[in-house]
Amino acid sequence: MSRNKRLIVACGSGVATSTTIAEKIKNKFEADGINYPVEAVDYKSIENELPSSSIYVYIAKPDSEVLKQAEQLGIDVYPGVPFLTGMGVDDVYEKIVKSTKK
Amino acid sequence: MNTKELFSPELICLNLEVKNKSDLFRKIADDLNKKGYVNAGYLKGISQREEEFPTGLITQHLNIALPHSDTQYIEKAFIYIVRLNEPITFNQMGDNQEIKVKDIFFLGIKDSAKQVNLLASLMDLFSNDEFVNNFVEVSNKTEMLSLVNKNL
Repeated sequence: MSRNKRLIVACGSGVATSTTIAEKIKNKFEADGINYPVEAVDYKSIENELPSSSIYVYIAKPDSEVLKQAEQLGIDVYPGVPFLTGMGVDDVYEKIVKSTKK
Repeated sequence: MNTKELFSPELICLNLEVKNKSDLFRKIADDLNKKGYVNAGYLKGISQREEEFPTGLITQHLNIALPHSDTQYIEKAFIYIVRLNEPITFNQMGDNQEIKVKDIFFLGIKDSAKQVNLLASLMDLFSNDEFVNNFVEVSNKTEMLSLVNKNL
């Protein structure tokens, strides 16, 4: 399957949260030698962003329609808040790394 | 803009008494409006955004909330530090679960490109044991200002 490899981080307004978390994930990927595109997007445009993504990290809680779309597209979905608070971040990051190797 | 410049003694309140979240937002919006940091649309802007995209966070030692509005309501960038006498209910970012919060940082972001480090630096503070220990002990504005300035 020629899936488009891209990790997106989506928050409510794109004011700060998604950019902050995207930067944190980028830095971790870089440190671990993982070459994978990471991008911050606005939750309002999520339905247009999902088809060209493979991993979706959410900050704004996704509604059920969005989750259904992600599932149909075979996109892995993970919470982004741990990257902000540091709580449970190792666990989530490990799962994301596994996803990048799919 | 340096994060430190966003703090000001006139934007620190460490013993605020409020009934609930809307009471808190009204009081802070009034004060910010009087002091020229936000325009008249701010209260509505911040309330709607919090409703749609909640900002409560469970950090390692402390529950906090980071209410912020879209940039169009901000006249002058700021961070307003508020501590409540009694905790009130916020919803957590990401999963919307209810959490009790006493410590709130209102983020007045005017230019998100320039202030992108703001959130990262704030969050680093709250994973720093020593900072959090001092933060919860601080009881006046001057000490609070010097504590954040020392750590940012």
